[in-house]
Amino acid sequence: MRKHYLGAGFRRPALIAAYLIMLTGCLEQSQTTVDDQGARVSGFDWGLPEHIPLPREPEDNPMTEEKFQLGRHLFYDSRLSSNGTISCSSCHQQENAFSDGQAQPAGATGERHSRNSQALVNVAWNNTLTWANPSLGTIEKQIMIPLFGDDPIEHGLNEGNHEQVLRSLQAEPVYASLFAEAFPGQSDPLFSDQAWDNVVKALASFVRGLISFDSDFDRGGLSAEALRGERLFNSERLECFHCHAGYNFTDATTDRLTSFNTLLFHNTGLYNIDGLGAYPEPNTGRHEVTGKASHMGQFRAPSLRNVALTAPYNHDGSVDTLENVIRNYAAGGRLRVSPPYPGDGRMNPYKDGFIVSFSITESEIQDLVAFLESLTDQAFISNPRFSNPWTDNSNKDLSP
Amino acid sequence: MGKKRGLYCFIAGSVVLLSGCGGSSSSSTETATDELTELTIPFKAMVGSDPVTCGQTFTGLGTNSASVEFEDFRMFVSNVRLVTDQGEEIPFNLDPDALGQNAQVALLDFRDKADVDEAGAVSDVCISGTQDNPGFKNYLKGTAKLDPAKTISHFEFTIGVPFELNHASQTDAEEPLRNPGFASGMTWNWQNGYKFMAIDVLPVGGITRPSDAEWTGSAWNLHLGSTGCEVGASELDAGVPPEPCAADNRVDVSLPLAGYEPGAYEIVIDYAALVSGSNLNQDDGGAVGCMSFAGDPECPAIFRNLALPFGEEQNTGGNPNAVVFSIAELQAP
Amino acid sequence: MIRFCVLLVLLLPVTGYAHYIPEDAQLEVNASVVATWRSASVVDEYEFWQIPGTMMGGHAWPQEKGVSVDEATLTLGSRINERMFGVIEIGSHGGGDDHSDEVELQHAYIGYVCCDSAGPWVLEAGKMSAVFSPALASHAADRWISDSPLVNDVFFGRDFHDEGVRFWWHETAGVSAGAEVWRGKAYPATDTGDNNWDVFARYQWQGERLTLSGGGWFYRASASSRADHRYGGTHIHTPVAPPGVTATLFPDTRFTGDTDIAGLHAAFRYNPQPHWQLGVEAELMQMDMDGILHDSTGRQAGVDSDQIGGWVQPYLQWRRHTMGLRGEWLSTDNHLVGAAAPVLATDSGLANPQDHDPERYTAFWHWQWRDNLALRTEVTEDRTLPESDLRWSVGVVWSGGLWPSASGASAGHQH
Repeated sequence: MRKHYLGAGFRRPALIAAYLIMLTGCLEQSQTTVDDQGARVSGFDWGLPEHIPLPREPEDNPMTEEKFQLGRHLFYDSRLSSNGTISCSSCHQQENAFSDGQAQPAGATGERHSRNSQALVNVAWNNTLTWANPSLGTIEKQIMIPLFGDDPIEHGLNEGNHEQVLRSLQAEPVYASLFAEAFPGQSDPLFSDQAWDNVVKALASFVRGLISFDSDFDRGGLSAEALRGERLFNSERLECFHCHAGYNFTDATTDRLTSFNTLLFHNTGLYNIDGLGAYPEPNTGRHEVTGKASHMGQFRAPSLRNVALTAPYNHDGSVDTLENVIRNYAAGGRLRVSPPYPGDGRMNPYKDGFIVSFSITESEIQDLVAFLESLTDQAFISNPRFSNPWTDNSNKDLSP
Repeated sequence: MGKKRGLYCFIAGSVVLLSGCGGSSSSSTETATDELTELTIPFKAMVGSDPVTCGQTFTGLGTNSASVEFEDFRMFVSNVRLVTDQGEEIPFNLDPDALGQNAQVALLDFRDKADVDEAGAVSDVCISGTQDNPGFKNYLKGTAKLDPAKTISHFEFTIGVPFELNHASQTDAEEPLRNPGFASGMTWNWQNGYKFMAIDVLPVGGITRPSDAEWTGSAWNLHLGSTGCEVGASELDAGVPPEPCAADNRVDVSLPLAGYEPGAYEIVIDYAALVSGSNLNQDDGGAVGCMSFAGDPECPAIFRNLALPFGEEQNTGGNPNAVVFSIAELQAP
Repeated sequence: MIRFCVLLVLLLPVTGYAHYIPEDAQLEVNASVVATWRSASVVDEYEFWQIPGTMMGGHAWPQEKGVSVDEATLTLGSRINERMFGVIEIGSHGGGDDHSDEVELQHAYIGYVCCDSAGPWVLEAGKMSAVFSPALASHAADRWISDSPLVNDVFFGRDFHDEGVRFWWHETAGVSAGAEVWRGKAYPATDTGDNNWDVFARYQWQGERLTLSGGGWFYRASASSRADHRYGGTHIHTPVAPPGVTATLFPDTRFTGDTDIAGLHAAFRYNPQPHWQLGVEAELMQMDMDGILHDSTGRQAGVDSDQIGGWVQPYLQWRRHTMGLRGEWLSTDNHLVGAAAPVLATDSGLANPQDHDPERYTAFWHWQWRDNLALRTEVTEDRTLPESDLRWSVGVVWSGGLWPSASGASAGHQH
């Protein structure tokens, strides 16, 4: 009897339960669709690892392989200078990750530049170009400076010689086909009045295509020392990662995914020549362009990829080794006792808030250096794709 | 009754006909005032009462009576207009086909000497040039809608390149803004723009710096341009022009015509007046001379003479324009 | 009579429908503590419990191996005067490396009733739980199962305590209905000034053997730069793992936009015979999320999410023992648009590369050993993450009135 009741009592709720369970079967298959709106579409084969976002390409100069190759020829061509002695590769040498191993380089007339040649590593991802110029947003704009600048004279192209320089390019048989392939939409890219514009665009395309993401760090093969160094790099004690953050080890990074761009420059307390924070002229950093006192001594954090190859360091090449760079940060700035430019950079009032001193042992410094050395991309500095395409030495840089 | 109707028709008809006649004659006078008048406005670069020439030494300049030779003397002019005594602005339309001009901007080049080789390439402009400089340009050519009924009281122009053109691509620009091209040496790439005015001189005896005994300079440069320009923080596509620069530094010049007829006057730029407060043998810091940078010790004197704000100084007092820029009767060549 | 009392005792903690309104001017103090031992953790140490296809946050901590105090609460209530009453509740939630054992003020509110002693019109204001979903307002002490339902964890961050105002018709003629307006301090909203509100209605019919109840609700939240505060937000920890273990930094992706959640709940209870009860409870929720995902490096992507899930819990009760099952399901349909969409999908947790459908099945046995003390044991097949996990647990629930001590039928935790 009881059993019978139980049976009857069970049926109704059991049916309801079954019904509700079946109802949930109406739930559709879960899915997440992602539409990146062509963020990985490009006319150029970047060859990037999957997790690295594509860099921006200017609308008026989209990347193509032909422009890259033309730019490569122009990069190593010392005819692009007033006296045939300077090419881009004079101060940007592949074996030094496209820096030059000097504190400050000299131009075609021997006039010395006040700042250090930057390594051309992943420049495509920089949000501004050169050490401290918030007005240079593209490589195309930056290239005009070494070519046509007069203060200092670098390549030395000017009013008086630009026609003759262009004629020497036009006389090179290789360029006829390279220009035609790079600018197929133009009828006469090497001889028309677009010629210089094309030169600049091709050079920019070459520099934009210099990419380096194949270091030991990327491949995951770090030594025990380098692993310790990585922990130090990411630690709250050293805080290197605050300015040297992300896949390119600099916060001054922009890519296709960035929807707004923040210009970031930092004063790291290297100088203090008047006790009030001044940096020696003309290298006052961002202040040199904007004139604002708070921008005194602010420079862009460069990428740390291949940094072991780009000594000497800082904007004027005044720090010779990575250990000394780290020691400056550990001290919270640089104290200079003897001329030139004595002063206590540690007391610089414009110093970035993250530059506070920290304690670090000598072996920890070595670990950190080991980590920085793991960012060297051997393939990058030996890749024939980025090297001098000219078969004879006549266009190689002649300056020592 | 019929007669009167006929009379009324005649009167009505003749009124209509006559009004038609009157209408056509008035429309012909309207077209006369719609015509554009071609004008050529000459400019003259002077040092006091002497015209600027290359290869010549000019004396008595600045606070220490320096002697100098010219190396560069160019300026971009835009937004040229004739202003009536009622305040109406009549635009002066630059002729885009004239030398050194496009529809928006003209580049005046007062360097009269250069060397020209057989291929037509120009070199040694001003310094050590021996021939005439084919790029020499000391006039503005264009058209304006002149109405005889209106009296022109002022001639106005701006020294500078308009903002949108100032930060656009230089290799791709329309002359005279192309670099390399007419604008070679007139660019200021690392402030992302052009030099609105470039007057470089070589002072005899060189330039020294009181605070640094080992420092020497040879050229005292006056470069006027926009400073404090930053790329827009929100956009970074294709070198989009930056946000408005911290200091525009475009000079608006307004000169009273004092009754001169079009074609009977010239605009005078007096370099001596421009550097009247400057010591051309000395530079205390910043760029050699004045390159418009905030904090350059040589700039306040120059900017005062240009009536341009600089740093804390508004420089609106007086009318220095009448000293550096003035109108004079056109001298017969 | 005994039957009725047993029914009453068993009914109250389960339904939580009897919204707590203090009757006496005397202070009433109730307390509850839930402690559970579990055989396995959902995720390893230094990993995050992030169900693919969802955005999580709030207090949705993963279950951890070992003993944990799931919850401890102390409730004080008092009738201030004829019309007004006040309730304060302090408590702690288990879970979370840094937040466990933190005692917080969970409720602090004043109520006004009109015009009988318990309504029907009630206005409450202060910091309190929402009543739109009874299951959401319930605690581990009230439920048969120690884990809160999956949809509660995913959509609401497990629980809902916020500052707001509630105006409703309270449990009269079987009907409760009203509206609540919130400040937005509870996940999925943020406290940015926009309105967060909900409306609800439910009906309960009680017969001699049968009790049916059901209701529906709608909740809208707006959020601005909402973080997953379990692991991220302004207070991110750089995890320091011991040697040999890598700890990943939690990607701090934020959401700005609106979240609309609608729900239906039902409960069915049948007493075929004295000492026996059968029941089924269920709730279905649907969430629509529309807004922008963004992070600190300037990347952003548009997101449009449609997620639906629910749970069904049939059970059988005999005297003091209850046994049953709970099946939980969740289905997600997310669309992200923008150049940064792929990377933000992965960082936020919305990416679902294996098209995984989260599910969880729990079987339980609950024994009300004493009036104030219950023991329970559960077996859970946890398929919320792509790797499924089987764990079992043993727990203890103590829930009772502390003051006044002579409250027999008062079953402790009420709200």
